[in-house]
Amino acid sequence: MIKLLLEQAATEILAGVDLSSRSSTKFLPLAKVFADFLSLDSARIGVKRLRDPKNYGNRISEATGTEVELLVLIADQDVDQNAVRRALEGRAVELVPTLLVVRRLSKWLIDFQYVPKGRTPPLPGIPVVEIARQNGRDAEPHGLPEVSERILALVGLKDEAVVRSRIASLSNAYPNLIFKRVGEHRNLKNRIREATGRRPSHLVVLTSEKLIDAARSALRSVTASDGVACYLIWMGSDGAFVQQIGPDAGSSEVRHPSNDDLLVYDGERMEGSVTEVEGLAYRQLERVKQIHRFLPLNANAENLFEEHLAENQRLRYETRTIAYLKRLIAKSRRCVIVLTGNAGHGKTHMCFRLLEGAVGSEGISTLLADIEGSKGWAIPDASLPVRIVKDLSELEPPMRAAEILSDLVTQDEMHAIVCANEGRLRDVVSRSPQTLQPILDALDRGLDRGETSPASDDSIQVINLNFQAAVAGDGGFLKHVLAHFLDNQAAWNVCARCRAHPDCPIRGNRMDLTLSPSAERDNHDSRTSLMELVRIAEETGYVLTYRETLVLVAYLITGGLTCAEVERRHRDGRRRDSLKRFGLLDLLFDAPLSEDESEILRVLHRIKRLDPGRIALRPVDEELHCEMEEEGRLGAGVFGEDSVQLRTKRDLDREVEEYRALVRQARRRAWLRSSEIDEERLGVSRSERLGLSHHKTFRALQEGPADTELVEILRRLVKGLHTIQGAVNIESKTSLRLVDPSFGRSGNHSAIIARSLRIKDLDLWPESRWWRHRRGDETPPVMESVEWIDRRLLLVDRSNEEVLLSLDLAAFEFVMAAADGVVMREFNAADRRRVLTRLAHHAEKGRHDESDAIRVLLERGDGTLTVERDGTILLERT
Amino acid sequence: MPTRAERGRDVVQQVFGGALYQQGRGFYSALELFAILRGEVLLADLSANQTVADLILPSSGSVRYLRPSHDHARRLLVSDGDVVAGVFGTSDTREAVKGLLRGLEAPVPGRKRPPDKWQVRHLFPYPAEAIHYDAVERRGRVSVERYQFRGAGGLAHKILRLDPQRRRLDETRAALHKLLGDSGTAVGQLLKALAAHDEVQAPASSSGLDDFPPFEDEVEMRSLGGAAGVADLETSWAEILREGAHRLLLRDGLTDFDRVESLLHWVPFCIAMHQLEAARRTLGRDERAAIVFDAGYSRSPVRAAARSHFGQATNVIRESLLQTAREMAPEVLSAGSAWWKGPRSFFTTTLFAVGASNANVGQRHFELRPQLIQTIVRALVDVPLAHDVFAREVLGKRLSIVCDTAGADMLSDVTLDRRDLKSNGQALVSRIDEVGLLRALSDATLMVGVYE
Repeated sequence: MIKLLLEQAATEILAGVDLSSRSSTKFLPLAKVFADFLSLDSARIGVKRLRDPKNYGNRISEATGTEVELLVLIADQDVDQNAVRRALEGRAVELVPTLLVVRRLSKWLIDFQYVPKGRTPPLPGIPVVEIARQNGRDAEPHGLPEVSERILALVGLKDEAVVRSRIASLSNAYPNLIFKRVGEHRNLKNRIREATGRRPSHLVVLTSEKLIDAARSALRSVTASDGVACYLIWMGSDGAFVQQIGPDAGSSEVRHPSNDDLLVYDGERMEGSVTEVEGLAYRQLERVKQIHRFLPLNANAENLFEEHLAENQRLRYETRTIAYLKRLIAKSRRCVIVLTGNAGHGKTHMCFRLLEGAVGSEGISTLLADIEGSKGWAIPDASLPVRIVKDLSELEPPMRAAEILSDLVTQDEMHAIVCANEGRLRDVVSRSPQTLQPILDALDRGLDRGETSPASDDSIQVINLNFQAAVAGDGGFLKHVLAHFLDNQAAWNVCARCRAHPDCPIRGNRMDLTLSPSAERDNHDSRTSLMELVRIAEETGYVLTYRETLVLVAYLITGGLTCAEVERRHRDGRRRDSLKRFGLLDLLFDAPLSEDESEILRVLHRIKRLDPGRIALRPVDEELHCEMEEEGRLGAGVFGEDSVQLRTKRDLDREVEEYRALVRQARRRAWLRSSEIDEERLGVSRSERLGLSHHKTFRALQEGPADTELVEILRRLVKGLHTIQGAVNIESKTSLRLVDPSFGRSGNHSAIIARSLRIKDLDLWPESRWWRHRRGDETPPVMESVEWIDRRLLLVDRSNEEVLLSLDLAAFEFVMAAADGVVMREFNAADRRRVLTRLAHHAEKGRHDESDAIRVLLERGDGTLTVERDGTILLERT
Repeated sequence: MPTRAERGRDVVQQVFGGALYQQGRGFYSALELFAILRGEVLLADLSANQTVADLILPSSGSVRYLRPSHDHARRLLVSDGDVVAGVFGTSDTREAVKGLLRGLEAPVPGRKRPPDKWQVRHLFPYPAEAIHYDAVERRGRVSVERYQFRGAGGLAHKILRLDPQRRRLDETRAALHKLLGDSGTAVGQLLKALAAHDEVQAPASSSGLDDFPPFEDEVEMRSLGGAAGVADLETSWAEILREGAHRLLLRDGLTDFDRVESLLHWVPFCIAMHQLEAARRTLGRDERAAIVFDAGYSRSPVRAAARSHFGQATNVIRESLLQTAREMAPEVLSAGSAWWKGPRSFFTTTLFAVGASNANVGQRHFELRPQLIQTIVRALVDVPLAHDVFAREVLGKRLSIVCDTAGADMLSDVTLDRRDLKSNGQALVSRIDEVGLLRALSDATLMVGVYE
């Protein structure tokens, strides 16, 4: 009966209570009802709402105390009554009879009563669950003199972060020590109760000066009843103050800073205690979560899309393009700017950055909604309002997109910025070519001459972001991302206190790349190696978007793992070894990619081709072998000192495989850490370790080499081109021979020469230099509009101003390597075909010379064939 | 009373509309076509009173052309000494010229070493001076006659000259006249000098035409059912061949060498596919049923389907011949010989040569190899197309080739997982990229076209 009445009353009262309100008095009416029915003082009834099962313990700790005689737990969703029992037994400060009130549809019912062993249930007719205290105190509260000493040693420390991290590491070492930080008056009591619910031996509370009194009195009540050794710490003007609040109520002693204290424990010793791994807990790092969100391998990849990011999470990077855009819209002349290129270059980002400051977050959502770009935005320093179409692909059907684009081009009251993927742009232009063709002209002139506008009209500007490099200048965007993710030590502090840290690949990868002062070594060389590797991938013609750069870095740091996954694998002894496969070098060169991953990280396919583990260079390998021997890493077996019995072929194979893996890993590591000093000492550059013998030349050509060097390079290139055309190993100091196309594909060693070009008329220029040359030494606008790197070398015939060949790094390597005499017909089929097709074009052009002599390239030297009048044929060797 | 061999020939003619035999396999069909066309061009240059339209790809009547043999150069390829005494100043010169000629030979697919007989060694039909007709040695004398050229090239020639689109035909003629006239290049000069010593000489002036009357090609005339019944024997591939050849001859951005090389693949491919379609028609099957082509790099369900289609195709060709023989000439069947093997072998070997199947012998499947992809794109793609459009419209609707998810719904007899077709399509993309015919505009758009 009493149960029914109580349930009815509870239903009525709770119907009028906002459960999510933070008011501390919202449950008072309910407590009163229970007090009336059970003849208790309402102040001695604690009421708490249970929500998330992981917080049951904290809620119960907060609600129980010496003064509480009855606890009422209410839950508006299903609760696991066993979880409640466990929480009560483990975390209640005092065990008291507890009622569990649960909502069933619109009614609130009392489901269970939890009664401490030996006590009578407060209500009849309700199922009883007996509870008993579970966690005993492990050690005597004052049996840890060292702990007190260490806490007192914090006195005088100036930096609150240092104080916090020291106490935190102390609490890791001593599980019976609980550390709480209290920042607000409002939840002060709850925080302290939460802590005491765990029944610690030591409780350290860090607070601010204004809360000292409140905290002190709260702590006194705790120590009085529980006998916990409590310490109160706050930051004063002279550094940290520590007050111990002893069990014999009230006695306290404030420790003022003194020099002696500062000398007791230095940082080293404190850090040293952290290595006692067994005592540590697993940690989840917020920074790792953030980075992981950049990986589009799961549903949480929201960080990749600007639209989904909160203001403070956006990665700020000043690209050259934004500055260029600002310059364009500051000019008095109206202009239409089309930002084009692959998805992921940051077109939307740039629009947001332009609007930044001019509009608030509301403006951003307006922009998101205004897909047709009808609004004109007032942007600081812009001469006219700016209309922005943030993605042309969102406009359907394409005809509508063409209409809008035409409207933007023809109107002249406002500037316009249009973001469009190239494929879409071409499609849209084809729908309304009369007005829009200049846009495509500009795009083509960009590819051809480095211009951003069509010849006729410079008010149309097309910025092709496919020219944008992720590793321009001294590191560009990649450098920025690495620094953003890795260099903030504070974000990674927790790592050192994680149980998995010695084996954690995420921490290991960070340690390989971070430049923060806490890093175990100077990682400048590793950073440079990584950036150079990515730049080389770009130089081989790969268009790396900023989005893919983010994904790449996130992948290289985490390997797709989260802290939780690291923990799972680390806990399971059998899977712990699998963590090794997520090291930076394995991820770069070895890790098999899933279908999804390889779709997103196409750049890794390029990078894998550059695996330093597969390149054998004598000076490098000899040194590595010595090192490995000295360190005893070669171990037993045929290659080690202590030769073990290898009985079967399988033993031998395994041994060889292990050795090979060892050497590969060592070569990769040596590449990552290689410095300029190593380069000089061994005579092997970083790029040579990646298998690129001519990358240095490729770069040198961009800077403009000395004339003598250039001639040497050209001669080698010419020899390579001869070999590719089938005239193997034909060297020439003076001319490049273009073989008649009928011979090019035969692989025969002799051929007829269709055309000769003098080497002194040839030049090998980076693309930008050619453009500049054509513009009369003016810098081409493309280079100003994006973060630029030269990805192509052009073989130019100066005598008639034509480009014979365009070579990216891979093609350049191929031609230069061919100069050594070998062309793999199948392996290099595509490169070979491309070079031959280009050369055939030029061979056909110059073929019709009228002389009677037929110039031939033969296996042994050149010659001329002449057909005499009587029909006889004569060969003259030259 | 026709002999049994003649009756057999009639059966082949009846089914495919042309003489498709093993000897004319691979590139020989295109070489034959080039020989006919070059012969027509030479004749046109000598005949002042007739127009180009009368002599090159004449729309009606019989076909007449000159037949240079290049027997001197070809015999030189297999000879250790001089073929004609006194041509070369020194043996060094002779060896140098032999070295050059070896670089000018047409490939014989499926052969590891070049054959010893000069009759089966042909020169690559570029430059035009290198083009020649078949020749054999009879009783120590060179005789210009059919040896490898059995009529497949004639069939292609007939198809081209029966083009109903007059303007296209005129353009094709003009382009051929230009492409197959003397090039005047160094190579051309050398070949001319060598040809001057050929045992059988083609007439060099109009007066010579009286002594050496041009050859009148009856086999070509009989192709596609002679004057009558042409429409019945034409397949959809005839139109595809005409369109592709026209585009290859006229499109910008190709060198003459590219045109010749592409035609060398395009013509045999179209003839072989025409053969299959004609065989299907004879059996009353769906003529345009789609065929799965593999483009991947490893074993896959797509490859299995391509293999099964390959087996079906060869069976269809055999069945069509046997069925027609039962109706037309039962005496051919009684012989118990495998007379139908020649046409079937023409089909399989030709497909391998042009890059439409994986191997010449053994377990075979349809495959799109890079050289064929390049040829198809050059022949059928005018302006760059998005890859999915290319796969759906050109490969799928036009050629009935299924290689990608785009054509999945065209398949009736096999069911393939979309995922398998998708990865096959991706492999196709990388193959197209490999031959430089792909431009990636953005994540979603890959454009296929000729960019040279």
